[in-house]
Amino acid sequence: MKTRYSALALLRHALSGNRHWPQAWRSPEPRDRYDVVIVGGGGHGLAAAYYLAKRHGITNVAVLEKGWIGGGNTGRNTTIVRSDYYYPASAALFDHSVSLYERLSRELNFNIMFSQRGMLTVAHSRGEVDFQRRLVNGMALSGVDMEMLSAADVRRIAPYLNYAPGARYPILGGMRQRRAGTVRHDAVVWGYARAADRLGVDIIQNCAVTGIDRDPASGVVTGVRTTRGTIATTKLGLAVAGHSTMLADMAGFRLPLTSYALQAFVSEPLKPVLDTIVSSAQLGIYVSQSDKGGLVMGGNADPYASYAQRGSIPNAEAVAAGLVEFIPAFSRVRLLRQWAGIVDYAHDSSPILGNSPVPGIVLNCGWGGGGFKAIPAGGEAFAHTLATGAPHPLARAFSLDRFRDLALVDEAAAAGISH
Amino acid sequence: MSGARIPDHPRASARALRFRFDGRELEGREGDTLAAALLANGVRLVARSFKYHRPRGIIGSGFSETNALVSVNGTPNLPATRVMLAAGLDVRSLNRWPSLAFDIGAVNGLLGGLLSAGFYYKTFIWPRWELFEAVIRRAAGLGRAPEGRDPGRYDSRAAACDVLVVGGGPAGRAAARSAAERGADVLLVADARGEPPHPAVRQLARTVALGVYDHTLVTAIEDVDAPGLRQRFWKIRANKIVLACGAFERPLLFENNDRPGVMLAGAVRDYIERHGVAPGRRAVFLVAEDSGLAAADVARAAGIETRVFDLREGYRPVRAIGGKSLRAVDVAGPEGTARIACDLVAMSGGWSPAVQLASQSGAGLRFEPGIGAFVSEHQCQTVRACGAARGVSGEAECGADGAAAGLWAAGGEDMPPAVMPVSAHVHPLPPPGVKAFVDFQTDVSTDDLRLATLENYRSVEHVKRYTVWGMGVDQGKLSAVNGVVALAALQGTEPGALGVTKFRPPFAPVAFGALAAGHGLGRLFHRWKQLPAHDWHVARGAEFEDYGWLRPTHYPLPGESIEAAAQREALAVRHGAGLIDSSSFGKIEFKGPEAGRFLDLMSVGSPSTIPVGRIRYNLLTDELGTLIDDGVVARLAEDHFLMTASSGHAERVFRWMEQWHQCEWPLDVVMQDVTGKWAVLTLAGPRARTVLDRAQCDIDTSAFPHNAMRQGHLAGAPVRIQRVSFTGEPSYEIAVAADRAEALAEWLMQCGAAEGLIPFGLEALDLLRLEKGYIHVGGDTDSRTQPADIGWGKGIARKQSDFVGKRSLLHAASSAPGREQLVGLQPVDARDVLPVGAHIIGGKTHPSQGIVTSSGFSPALRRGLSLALLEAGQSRMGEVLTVWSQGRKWQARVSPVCPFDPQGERLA
Amino acid sequence: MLLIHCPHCGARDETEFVSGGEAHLKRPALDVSDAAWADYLFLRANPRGALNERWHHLYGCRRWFHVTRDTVSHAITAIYPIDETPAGKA
Repeated sequence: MKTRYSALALLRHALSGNRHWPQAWRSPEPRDRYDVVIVGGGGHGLAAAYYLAKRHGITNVAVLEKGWIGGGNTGRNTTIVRSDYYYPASAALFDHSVSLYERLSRELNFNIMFSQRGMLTVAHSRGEVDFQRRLVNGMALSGVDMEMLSAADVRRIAPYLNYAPGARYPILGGMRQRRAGTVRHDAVVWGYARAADRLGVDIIQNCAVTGIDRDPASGVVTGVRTTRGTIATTKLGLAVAGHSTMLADMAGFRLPLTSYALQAFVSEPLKPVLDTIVSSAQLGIYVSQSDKGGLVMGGNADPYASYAQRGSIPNAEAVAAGLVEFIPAFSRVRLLRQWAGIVDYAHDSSPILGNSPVPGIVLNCGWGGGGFKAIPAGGEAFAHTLATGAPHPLARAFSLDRFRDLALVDEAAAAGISH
Repeated sequence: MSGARIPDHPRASARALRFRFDGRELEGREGDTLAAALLANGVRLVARSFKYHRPRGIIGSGFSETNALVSVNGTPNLPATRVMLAAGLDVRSLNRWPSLAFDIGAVNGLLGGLLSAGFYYKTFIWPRWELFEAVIRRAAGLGRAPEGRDPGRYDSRAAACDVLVVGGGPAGRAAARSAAERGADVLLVADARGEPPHPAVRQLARTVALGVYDHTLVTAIEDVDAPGLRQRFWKIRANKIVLACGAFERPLLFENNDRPGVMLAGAVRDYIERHGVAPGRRAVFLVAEDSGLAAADVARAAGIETRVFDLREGYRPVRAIGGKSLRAVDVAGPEGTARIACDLVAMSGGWSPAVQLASQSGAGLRFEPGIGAFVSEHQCQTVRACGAARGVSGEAECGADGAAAGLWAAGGEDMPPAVMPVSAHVHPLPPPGVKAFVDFQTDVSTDDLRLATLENYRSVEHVKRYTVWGMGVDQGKLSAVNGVVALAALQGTEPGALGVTKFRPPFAPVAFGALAAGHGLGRLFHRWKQLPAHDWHVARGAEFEDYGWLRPTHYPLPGESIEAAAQREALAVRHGAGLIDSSSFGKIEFKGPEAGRFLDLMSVGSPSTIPVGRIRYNLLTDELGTLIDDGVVARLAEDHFLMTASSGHAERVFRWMEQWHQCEWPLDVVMQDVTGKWAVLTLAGPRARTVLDRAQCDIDTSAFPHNAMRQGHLAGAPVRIQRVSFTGEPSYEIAVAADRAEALAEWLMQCGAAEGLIPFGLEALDLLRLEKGYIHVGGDTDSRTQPADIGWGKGIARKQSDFVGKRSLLHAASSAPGREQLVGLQPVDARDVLPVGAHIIGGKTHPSQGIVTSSGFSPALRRGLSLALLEAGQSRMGEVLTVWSQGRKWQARVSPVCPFDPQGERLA
Repeated sequence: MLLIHCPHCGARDETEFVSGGEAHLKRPALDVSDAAWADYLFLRANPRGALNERWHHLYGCRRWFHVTRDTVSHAITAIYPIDETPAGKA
């Protein structure tokens, strides 16, 4: 039975004791062959499966997930969605993603709770104000809704920040994207999974890929070996974030990526206190308040390669210090939980989106700490290449070839910290 | 009043402490926890739950308290069981309006079926989520955020030991004693106060271990509560860790199991024995494990009317009766269901080992049917659990197990397997349609788990996220095992196959302020550096800004703005002489037979060809060919060079040099960062030489050309003087031992008085260098700028040999058309000053075709001047372009980067 | 928090060190192809398991040395001089 979610449906099911809700998605046995197999049941993989079915009419699709869907970075990130990227190619991709997010609850019939409370990044020196002017002007020329704020504006919008005369980092101004906000991360996973499942996509959980088969003569991909048997396919999408180089190794090629642990933190739940996301590059901190009331925050990736989904203590101390320096009243708020995801960074901190060196294998990786906000656009572009073999117009700058061509899109130089 | 002090308990005669709960004046005793004091006063209703605002009381006596969260003196969400009573505490209940007894939010309870797990994913889509969100946000959250500065202070310490024992119960104390007896250096982290178990054991009392991190580092938080210090954050490095963290008692699942008055049996015993407080007068014990029988005996002995139902004999709780306080409980048994009047229900559902820290340390978790809970399995050689933390029950048995752990930790043989019962009582799930809570605080009931299962949210992580089970402040200490066991029953599988959700640090919530103490706040957050002559600048009236170093921006006259001061100071340098403190420039010395060769490998230019005594401008690139710094190289001797680096890049450049030298090119050269050793005072201006001549300098300035270096004495002090210029005026950068900086500055000012010498700051310097087109790498360049883009293409073409970045500069991308190149930009209206960060619009592929990187009003040329990065800029001299910033537009002409004294005649 | 045994200073917390990433990369000569140059610049083994890397004792002796570290457990299994390979002298 397919149920359209609505207030009415809630009422109807409440009256019958909530005993008849349909499954959000099925758990089918994998078939022997699919037109497209996507490895990675995170946001990007599930979104791509949905768009393959919805936009390209390709429904014989499997999404393979080694654990539970959304258990990787999609379910571990700090849920910020924004498009304040400096370089035009990045701004176009991420702004498209914000636009898709704005319509996503309706498209999926699943409330992803996009809370567009804005994101404010403060400037602590005249030099930083000048730098923000460069960014804001550039982003505005790319069509991103950015505004510069005076010190008085910042104080009005975020009165709880540290304006003490002796502050280590005084606040001299800021920049803001109003359309930025937070999204309930699990809802994105579940919403795409449910919608893709309705269109016929098989979501196969607890299915780890152990090998990738290629035709010895042509080199074309022919299938994947998994812990649940071999699955034949000629179109294979890889969307496994921090584990991308391992999959590439299985397929016989290499990727210019390194995996790091990126930590996130949440506090005990509080009544509403932060009504926007606030961020400071100097203090190495960004923080928002979730609808449940927890302060959700993050900082920089741990400074060495890691596949450990746990964070280091020095980085946690630095984030705590950044928070207390930024919002002194939060000194006696308490940390409830810290965790980490494995993020894959390329040299320029920009994604790799498009064809791989192996015919039939398509890449969606290298998002670093910024993959969550790109899920709808990344999934759409990924699906486009899986369906047509050609790069998506918004993804051309993010091809693997850019490294050989030294045509990097160095967003790290234009951004403060990852979030 | 259903709670009471037990008269003959020592606590009854302890000092009285007054405190307030929601405005009511109450009295407790010294030694009470807040929870004990509330119970002693007969307070039952303490809190409201998160979602349904159901009335809640105190359920436990320790870390697992999930209900009784309060705010204490403005600090929210503290479990009353973990707050030590102090005189004058202002305690308030949370999440209720208008009052705890009458809470409007309780209406949510009537909507139970509508507000089922994950209901918000299924609605609130039309017309806009934000309309509903505002209401939901207000309803969610627990306590109010604290305001103002934290009155508490925190500090941080590190410790190291052979053996760290976590837990001050029977197992932990035995482990610490046994390890210490064998000579190990033992640190015991204990929650309670008390004497150490052995004279050689170091003990941290009132301390809770929070997390286990890489390489056996354990963090812990110590409650100090001394004047001026609230808590101390510990980082403890151990060779071996013994986890004796105890166990959490499990509640039972039955209808209304959350009513105030329903408590854990162990907690009831704890209040009676430790605090001398009887939590009720008529108690019903519902017992699935022997410790519950013992607790009932304690209650009976304390004069509480006690009835016991052993679940192993076929009894089963059906529902609790009552609202804000308990009136009765229905118990089903072999003889039917009976309603038993009571004001206290004590549940004993078995004990779940506290495996949080073990799990963090990397141990696997295994479901042990004997105790109906998970135990840790330790593969590594550094961590062991013991006592109740690995499923052992009984005080003597835990002590023996702890002794075995201590023996292992001291280097003895490994621990024997834990002795546990064969099978635990399995408690049946309550039927659908009743409110039986698995997670009390977050209001997750067995029905919510049922719904998640129905909808195919099957992984424990999915269930947790869908229902918010285990997401409360207690992080599932009370609910994790009950939830897994319930889910296994619903899914028709074994708890062990499902596993538990990941346990993340910290074990108990910890204040950000305490965690921050390990990093440093205020000026310690990021240190800044002061110039050697800082106090002299202060005395001269300088204003400072933080550039990593605190540096003078200007020396304003009374009432003078920074802009006016900069104009005045710059003109003084152009027409007379100025003194600027350049001490923050990086200074790196290279010495050795291969110093020149090494510098050639590191530089875009060829420092090895610099004649002794001469200086040359130099660029550094990274392996991508991107500019990372500029500076000058002086040759002091055949084998001795001195390189300067930008202030902000100095440390990085030195590290860069060391890395290449040690890792790639181990040539015969030694290098040293001498930035802090030398202060540098720069005399600049047409009269600078005269000032220097008057200053008793033994260097012949008549034979001291631009781009040369001399060593000598000035007023008796050894100096190195470099003739280089960042102003376009003849300049003498005088380096002197840092401790003589103030004396030299004062001396130079005296000598220059007749020449009109003034001190000048960075604002004036910025105007002077702008007139000359001298760049700031990182400001006038970006992550793509290469030497050719700032007009240094010829230098690369000339140099045949390899250097860092050379191969990238040979790539076609380095000569691609449309690269952004450095140009001058002059507003058509000379009065305009373009904002830094303005963009040059009208590009072909994107509206922006460049950026203004530096800007100012030139005091010498009396017009606005800018530097810019412009697509193909070097071939576009004379073009008039539109500059845009924040909605405003200007017209500006592309011009050479150096409009003032382009031939450098003034430097001669 | 990693405990790193600097070969010159002894065991110290990771906060004194800086990771320099994967070790034993071979820097090509100038006549290398664009593709091979890009490989040198960007391609890393990124193993899930043992990784040879360079570390710098920045707030100590300022010496570089090699570390073999597991990227999952973070256990350090070898420390050797900067001029050696895991097998011994380069």
